[in-house]
Amino acid sequence: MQYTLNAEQIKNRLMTLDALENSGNENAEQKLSSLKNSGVWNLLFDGEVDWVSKVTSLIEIGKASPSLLAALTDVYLTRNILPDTDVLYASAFLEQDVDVDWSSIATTVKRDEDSIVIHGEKRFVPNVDLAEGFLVLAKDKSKDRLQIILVPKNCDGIEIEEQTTLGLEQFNFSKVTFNQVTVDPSNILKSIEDRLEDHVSFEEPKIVLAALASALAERSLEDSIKIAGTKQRFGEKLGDTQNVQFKIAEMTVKINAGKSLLYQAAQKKDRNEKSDVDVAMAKVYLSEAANLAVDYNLQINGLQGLENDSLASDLYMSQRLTELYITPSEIDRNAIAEYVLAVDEF
Amino acid sequence: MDYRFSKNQLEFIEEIEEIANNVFKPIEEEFGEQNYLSKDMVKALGEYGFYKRHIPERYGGSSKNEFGSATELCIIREELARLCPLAESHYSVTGLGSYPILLAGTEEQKMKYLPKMTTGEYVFAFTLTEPTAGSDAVNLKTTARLEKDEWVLNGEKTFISNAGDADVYVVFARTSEAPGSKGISAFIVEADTPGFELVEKLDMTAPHSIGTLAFKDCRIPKENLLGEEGRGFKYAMQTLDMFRSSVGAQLVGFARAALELGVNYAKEREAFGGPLTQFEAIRFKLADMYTEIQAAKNLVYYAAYKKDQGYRVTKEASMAKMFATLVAQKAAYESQQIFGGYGMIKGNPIEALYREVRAPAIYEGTTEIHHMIIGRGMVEGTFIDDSIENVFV
Repeated sequence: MQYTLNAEQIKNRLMTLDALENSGNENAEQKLSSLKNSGVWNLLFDGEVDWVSKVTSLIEIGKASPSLLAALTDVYLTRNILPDTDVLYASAFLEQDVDVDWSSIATTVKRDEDSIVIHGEKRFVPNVDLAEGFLVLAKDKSKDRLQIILVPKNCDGIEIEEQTTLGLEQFNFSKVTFNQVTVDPSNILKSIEDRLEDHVSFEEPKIVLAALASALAERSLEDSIKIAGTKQRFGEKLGDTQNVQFKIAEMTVKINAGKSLLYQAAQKKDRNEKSDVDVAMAKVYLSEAANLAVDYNLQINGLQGLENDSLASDLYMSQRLTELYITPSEIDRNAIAEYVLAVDEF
Repeated sequence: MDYRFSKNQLEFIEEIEEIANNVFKPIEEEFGEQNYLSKDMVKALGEYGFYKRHIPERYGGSSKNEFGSATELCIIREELARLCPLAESHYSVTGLGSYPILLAGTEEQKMKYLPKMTTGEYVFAFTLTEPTAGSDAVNLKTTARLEKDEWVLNGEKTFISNAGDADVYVVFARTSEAPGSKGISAFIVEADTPGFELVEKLDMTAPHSIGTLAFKDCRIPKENLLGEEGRGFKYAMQTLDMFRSSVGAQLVGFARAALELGVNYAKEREAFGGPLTQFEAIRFKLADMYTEIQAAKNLVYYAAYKKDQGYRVTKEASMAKMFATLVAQKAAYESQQIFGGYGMIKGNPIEALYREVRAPAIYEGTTEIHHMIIGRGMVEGTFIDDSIENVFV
């Protein structure tokens, strides 16, 4: 057994911390560009780099800039579909009433002589300002199959409207309308007859969200410890009261419990073992531990934590995405249960 | 970073499983639930070498380490708790009771007591808690007064596991009015010492050998002082530091047993036209149990790993014990809920397990004490480890 980082993993962590320090006060978009130009980008996306290093770096990125890490979620998703490109694309999968039930996709793709035509409205499309194009999930009704199509951003018929969502101020989703958009049939990247999950892995984006949850929870804990050590009430420090100590203890234990699951998943990935259930467990547990941590932190901050420019408020608003995005906790719980039910001995 | 057990550890787990299923379980089934020790179980644990595992070879043990291995202790307790709780309690209580001798005993004391512990000939008891000093153990009132060549002990101890059954008691008593823990010393008291008596056996939610003891001008030889005078409380805490993460391991074992019972029942029991597993309410319970058990196991073996590396593990052991306790209680409750009324019937293993998981939330530091330890350490900064190789908060 071994519970600490090895020399190579420490080197990778230090490189990430250096890059984040140098990126200073840039916004999330600028930070993403800086990241692309630094060695950290290779660390995150190079298949040769181990996942324990990646997870460690992702958490550090999330602690420095939660919005930047949220943006990376989709980069992992799109690079899973198009691995050999440095061009940034945005996934356009989700719709008004479609977040996990891909069979209900309403956006269509039709053959029209030598081209294909995409029509429909996508929601929650991330990284639109940075991306050069979209990976659109659409349904070919004539063949009763889903297709993923690369659509350059400059095509005619595309309308983009920013969506206002809770938290993560520098990370935005957009509504993107594809109004009879025409592209070449060679832009079809995947044609899927059965389950989308069998062709597109959501495992890596879920790892990023689990890391984001960990980062938000850790920031909350740090903030709580700071407040507990400085704020006075009734002549004593907040940190001397049992109710605050108990909250901080619970946050500490749950964050560590969740991180242990995330690193366990990373280790399995590094050994090329099946890790989907481990990733699901890490995401469910850490996102819910983060829910508790941001709430406790707000409570420890008191009313000041409700001010819109406070750190506690920012963390509180930003956490919610981690329980909903890519897969909501309920979908992951069902996947875990499926696995558990196939096991006889624990 | 690699959370996996080594090949040797995996082989050892298989060995424990085999012995537990073939030797210990039949003894447990015949013994049932009693408030005294099963001599057969003690004998079997001795015969199969369990008591030897943390004792160095020169004292009759099989350990290569001077003070045993916390990881191995966790492995044994987890597997025994999962398969045979009676064997687990018979193993761990004697281990806890004799550990201060290993830690602080003179060569003569070690040679006298430890070899007989390794064979199961001697059973031990850790004698700290008093009627008005539980979590607040530093306020214990039992006294030990030196008169010529003897220590004279007076006082009462309660909730002492193996009380009335143990051959040797490691007793913590006040030897001076020095403030805090500094006035507390540790002693070895043999069961047949005049002035030492069993006041009563206690009937607990989950019965095991436990009771109240009295010391009435109980005279023991001067040489029975364990370690240095005034350092007894330190030995008690060092012992608990070693065993605390293993309480977590015991609870992981209980939780795994509860999950297994719940899963298997949910698969076979039909309701509303299909198995219970068709319902999300049941599936989500199982998913959460499994997830939390994995996390608890990670925290337990992390604490044990750090202990074996030679670190102080006050924080890590507290986290492991507190979290595993809560996880096991929840697992037993939810599994019993899946069983419905059948889970309440005596003889159903989940009914016994539901009672069994309750006590560990109270002994060796209540859940509240562990919240306090962790919370205080984090606020004060003493528990914050920002070294670059560490990934936990």
